[in-house]
Parts: sequence; C-alpha cells; structure tokens
Amino acid sequence: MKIAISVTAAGEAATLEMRFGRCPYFAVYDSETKEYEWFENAGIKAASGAGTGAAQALLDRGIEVVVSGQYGPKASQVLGAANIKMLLGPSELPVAEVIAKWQANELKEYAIQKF
Amino acid sequence: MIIAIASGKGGTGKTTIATNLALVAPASQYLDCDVEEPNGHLFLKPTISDKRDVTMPIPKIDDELCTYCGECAAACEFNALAVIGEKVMVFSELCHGCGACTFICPEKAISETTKVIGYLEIGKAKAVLEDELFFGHGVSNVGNPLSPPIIKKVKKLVNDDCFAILDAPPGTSCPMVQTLMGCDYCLFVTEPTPFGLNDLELAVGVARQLEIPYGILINRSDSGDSQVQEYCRREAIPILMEIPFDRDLAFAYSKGEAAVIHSQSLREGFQKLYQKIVAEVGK
Repeated sequence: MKIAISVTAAGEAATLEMRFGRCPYFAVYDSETKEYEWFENAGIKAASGAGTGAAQALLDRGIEVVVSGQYGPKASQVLGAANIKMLLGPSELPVAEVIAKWQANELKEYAIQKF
Repeated sequence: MIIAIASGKGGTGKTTIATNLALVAPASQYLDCDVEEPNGHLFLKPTISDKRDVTMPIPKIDDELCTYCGECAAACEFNALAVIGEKVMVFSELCHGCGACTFICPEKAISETTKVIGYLEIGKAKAVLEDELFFGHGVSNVGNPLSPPIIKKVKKLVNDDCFAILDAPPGTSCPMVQTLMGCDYCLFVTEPTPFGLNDLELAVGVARQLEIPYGILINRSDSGDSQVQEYCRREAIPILMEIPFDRDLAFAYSKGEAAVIHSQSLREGFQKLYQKIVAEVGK
C-alpha cells in the first residue's frame, strides 16, 4: 500500500506540512518495500486549483492513503470521490514518526466538510 | 476616444471623478468596469433599458465517448478538471473558459456549455450640459471569482464616436489590466498619502507596460504630504487636476449627488479636465 504525506522538503529529515494543495513536496511511502519516494508538488506554483492538481497527482501514482494537516474543499472532493483515505497529522512531525503513527492507527480521519 | 479612470489604491475617488467627468464631457459614455462592486449608478441614477446575461463556456463531458485518459486534466492550466477512475469532475469555479480541454480531447468527448457569471445593464442618465449620456455597467454574480470576461463585455459597449469613460476597478491585477488594455489614455486618481503613492507607482507600471499615456489627478490634495507631487515632478508625469477636500461635497456625495451639480467651480474644473485629456491624447 502506498501512503502520501504532505511534507516541507525532500528527504527523510522532512516534517509534515500542514497545507495539502500548497505543500512543497509529497513523501510517498510504500508499506511493502518500506521505501520512500519524493516528488515536488506542482500545486505550489499553480495559479489556481492547487488542491485538485495535487489530488490528481496522487491518484495518478496509485496512492491509497494521505496524511496532511488540512484539506481544502475541492481537494477533499477529489480524494473523497476516489475513495482515498484522508488522515490528519500534527505539524512539524518527522516523516518516519508520521508513518509510525499511521501504522499504530493513531491518526485521525478527516471528515469531509460541506461548503 | 476611450479613457480609463484608475487608481491603484481603492477609495481615492475614481467613481467620483469618472461620473462627474461623464456628466460634463460632450457625447460621453460612462462604463463601470468595477464589476465586483459597481457604484457609478448611485450618482448617475440611470434609467435602465436593457439587461443582458454574461456567460462563459465551461466543459461538458460525454460519458459515452470519454475513455478517462486524463489528457483534459493534464492540459488544464487551472486544475479545473480531475479524472478519478471512470469519472471526470469539473470544477466550474476554477474554469477560465479557455477551451484547452475541448481542443485536446482525443475522443471529442468534451463539448462546451455556458454558465451565467453576471450581467450587463445599459441605459441613459441625465447629463449636466447635454440632455443625456450613455450608461453601462457590468455586475458580477456573488461567488463568481472571474471578472475579466464581464469587463470584456462592458468594453464592447464602447462607441468609437463617443468620449468613453471606463471606471476601472482598484488594484493592479487582471481586472484592472483588462480595463486599461486598448485605452487611449489613463487618468490615475490618487491621494497624497504614502499609501496612495505606493499603489500609484504600481499602477503607473501597468500603464507603462501597456504603453498607454497617463496623467494624475490628486484628490483631497490639501491633505497628506507632498510626496505624490514630488514623484510626478521626478518622473515628469503631468498632474491634470487637484481637488482639495470640501466638506459640502463630501456631504453631497454621501447622498449620492454629483459634485458638478453643486459647485460651479468644479463644473468648470471638470470641463477643463476634459479639455486637458483631449489635448494629452492629441500629443
């Protein structure tokens, strides 16, 4: 299973970034291979629709779970329609600890808000 | 002749200047391009004879033809489309109506439908020196984030034989640029304060980029400091008019009454402003 985390930078020293659509990078962790992959979020430079663009990029990579600090209304619509699990993590938590919390089932699920 | 009344900073008096100029200039048209909150009608009190919807194109997906290849979403500069498995989501509030998705779709599964984003109102208002003047404004619907398509429609009302006055939105972003594009002249209304000057410099940058000649009107000219005057001198920008603060005019304004009706000297002042603008355009 692949899990994506919105993060502040590329590399294992990165911490959780609170914004989903406008995060600088995504960390992708594969629970089978136990390996990380990093990719730059094109949404950080997008004039509009950063959230929908970032959600689309995760779908295209076959991600099933996302951890971020907050989800915008459009991003959560896209992720929700694709049945991707949206989890909330605390700010500045290192990536490895986010993964540990996820594995321990300690992360709260984001409730889609109607706007 | 098309002239824009712009400012940079909001609340400097664009609408006051634009409406008063429209009331005394011969064969004038007043066109309110501040479609997010048009207010020229409060002072001109026009009789509206025509109302038209403004629409923009948005994509419509034919599920019979769509193969969910995702090329539309990849082509969209504004991320208005998302392809999720066998579903295409269209976020019409992000769409700019550019048509790239319709063009790129290899299955011809996208057609365009329209979405109403605002409306135009057209009519006549009573003028001061002539019988009447042409009035037009655009109104953006609440929640519509995209005003340039409405501004474009307002500008289509320009009659080349008239002295068309475009009341521009504040700021220096897309709506203001859309208003200024193609104008013969731009009059910047500013106030002599550090805020006024800061935003004036940004607005002047837009006029320079668009290669539109411009001049300055200093409103409430007896307040603030002298930095705007110094800036104009340094940059050799003509100051076409200065209007000192006047409590009586502020009172009339608060009741939606035009300054040129109240003050003989301002009526003459605005007639002179008209002549100066015509002379500047002729240079």
